[in-house]
Amino acid sequence: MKQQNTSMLHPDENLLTAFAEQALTPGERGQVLAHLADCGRCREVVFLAQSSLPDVESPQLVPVSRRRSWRMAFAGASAFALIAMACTTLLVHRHGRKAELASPTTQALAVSPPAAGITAPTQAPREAAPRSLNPDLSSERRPPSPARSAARSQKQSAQVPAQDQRAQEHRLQALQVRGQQLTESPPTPRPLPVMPTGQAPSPLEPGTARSVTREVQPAIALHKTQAPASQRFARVPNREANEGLLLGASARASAGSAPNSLGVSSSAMQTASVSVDQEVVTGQPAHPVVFAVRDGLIERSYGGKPALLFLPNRSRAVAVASLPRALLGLDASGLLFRSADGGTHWAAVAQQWAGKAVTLSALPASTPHIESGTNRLELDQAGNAGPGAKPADVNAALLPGPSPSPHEERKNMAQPLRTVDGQFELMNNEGKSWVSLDGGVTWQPR
Amino acid sequence: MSATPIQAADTLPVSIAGDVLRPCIDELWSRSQAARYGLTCEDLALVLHEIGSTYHWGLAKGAEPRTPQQVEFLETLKMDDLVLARACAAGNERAWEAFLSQYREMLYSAAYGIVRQDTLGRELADSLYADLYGTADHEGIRRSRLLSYSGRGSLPGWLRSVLAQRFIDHLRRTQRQVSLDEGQAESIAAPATEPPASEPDLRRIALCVRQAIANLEAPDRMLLSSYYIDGRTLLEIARVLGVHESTVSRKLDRLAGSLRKDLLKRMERMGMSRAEARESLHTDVRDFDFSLRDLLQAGATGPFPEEEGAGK
Repeated sequence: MKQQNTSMLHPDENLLTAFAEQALTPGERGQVLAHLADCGRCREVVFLAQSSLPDVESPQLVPVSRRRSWRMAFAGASAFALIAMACTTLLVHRHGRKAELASPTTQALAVSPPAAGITAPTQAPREAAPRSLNPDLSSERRPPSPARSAARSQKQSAQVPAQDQRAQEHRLQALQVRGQQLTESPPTPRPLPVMPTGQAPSPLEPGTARSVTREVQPAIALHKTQAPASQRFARVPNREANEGLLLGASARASAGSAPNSLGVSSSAMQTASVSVDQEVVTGQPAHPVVFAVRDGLIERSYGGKPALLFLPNRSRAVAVASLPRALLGLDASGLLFRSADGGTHWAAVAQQWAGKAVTLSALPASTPHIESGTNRLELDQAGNAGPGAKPADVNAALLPGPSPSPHEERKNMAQPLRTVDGQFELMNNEGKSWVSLDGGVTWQPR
Repeated sequence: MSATPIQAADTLPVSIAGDVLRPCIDELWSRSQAARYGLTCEDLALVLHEIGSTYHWGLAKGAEPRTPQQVEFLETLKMDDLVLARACAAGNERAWEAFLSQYREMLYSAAYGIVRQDTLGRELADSLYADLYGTADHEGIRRSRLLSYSGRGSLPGWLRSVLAQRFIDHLRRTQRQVSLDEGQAESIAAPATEPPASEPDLRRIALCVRQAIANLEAPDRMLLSSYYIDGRTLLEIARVLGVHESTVSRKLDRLAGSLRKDLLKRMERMGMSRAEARESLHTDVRDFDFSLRDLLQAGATGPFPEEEGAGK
């Protein structure tokens, strides 16, 4: 542990991390806890480190462009329906056999009245043959022979009062009807929607990441629901990580794969799996998020469900503007606040304009792009690299120099990626405007 | 817990012939695929022994570690992360590629999550990244900050902790601005609803409060400090302690209740009546001459030693 003075030993970051992750031994945990009880500084480190994790308390607002498409929802529902039908078929098979075996009994009850002098029921011959190698439930759990069942039932019915016997018969008839219903074959499943015919997708070049055309999207959606878990990618919260996926998928895409029955090459599907995630994340919203000002509060509507948001200090909001990556709120005194998580947390924006800000607006970019220094990579509306983009193009756009070595790559870390998906515009009380291209952090006069 | 920093493998004294932990280390080595990053089994053995002795194999000081305990300790280490960190510290290019692809964006998003400001967050992440890459000392030997990662916790968690420490250092170096709310709270005097307690009563109450708080267990003090002094939410506390939010809430309620009872008992033992004791619980805390913050935490809040490079 670090030693600050002779009387105080601070746990190092390894121990603080292990404490927060419950990875210490009980003895160590007790010691760290005892220290944290006394040391505000170390507590601050632990809490700050944990605070940088995604917040699980407030629902993460997914930007409008990342909403799951209705096609994905339909594909999911189709998959569920198939599974449900498969289960129903299995159940039908089992119940059908039971109903078939049970029906002679019920028929005997319904038809033959109780009669005297009934002969003793004959024992069903015990199986002399050895058990089948393919265990069949019907052979193992064969119900008693019909004659024996009928005799037993007749004996029972003779003991039952007439009124109860009629009720019993009604119940048995209902069971019989139900048994007959279960033996019927399940309804034919509805056919899946026909894929829209369009231009056949061209096979992709190896390692190419390309955007998915609308015609291909349903096929990809279907593929995604059928894809094994290993092909599914974890949803990532920001576009930069999506770009990482793009690069990764581009590297993994195989060359010259033959198209499958859906008309999409497997390399495209592999790459498109990433694009589907992109599409899922950045596609058309089923429930767009709408922000508006109502009575001095910011109203956030998602899927028809409104929620009210407060600006810091409960100040009265007069304007709100949003882009996929940032939400800005302007209060009555001209203070501007910015939220990167849909209004859950706010930070004040330092004033970089003259006068008092009175209006706010957002202009989505017609060509969203990623830039790093002077390099720029256009994105489509789904957030994918432009058509025909190769990994080399992506690298060139994101990192200075063609195919930089890892050594250069590290040195270029001072130029991180910046995604530009629109601009905010602010007007002051004198009618002058300022614009921000980085989500409201910095402002320049128009 | 030892204060010895973890050293680079090549500076460690030596050979661990006849190492009873070797089978375990061999297995950990093969499982972690350290060979992919050029880390030999011997290298890993040296590193693991150093970590084990630094943290005394997770045991109390003075306890003699037995082999099963050592094996158990090694099994708790995040081997993949440790191997990656050590390989990066050794300058393995492949390891750096893997590190960049996994943690480059995570660093920036974690920095932003801590600082909540784009520019400062980026600066923080950039400066940490430079230290992770390593700076040459006066002898020209590059020392990477990653050498101090021990695998006790996850590498992303360790990176977040380091970022948090740097941010706190930054705050302490620059002038901290008192928020408007705090300033207003301090300047506004609460209207006096009742006459303050007399001096002897205040002294008795203060003594009881000191004794009651000193009587609290460390976990309880930590909970109270986090909630009432640091202003952490139930969720934040729950996350750190690894329990459910409702558990934290119940614990706080129980603590407050037991503290109140303890205070009342102590005040009665000092000669106050039950009614007087209850009344004194409503005393304005500003009438006291002590700070609850100081009572709850013994507190050194001075800055951590400046980091000069690697291996601290």
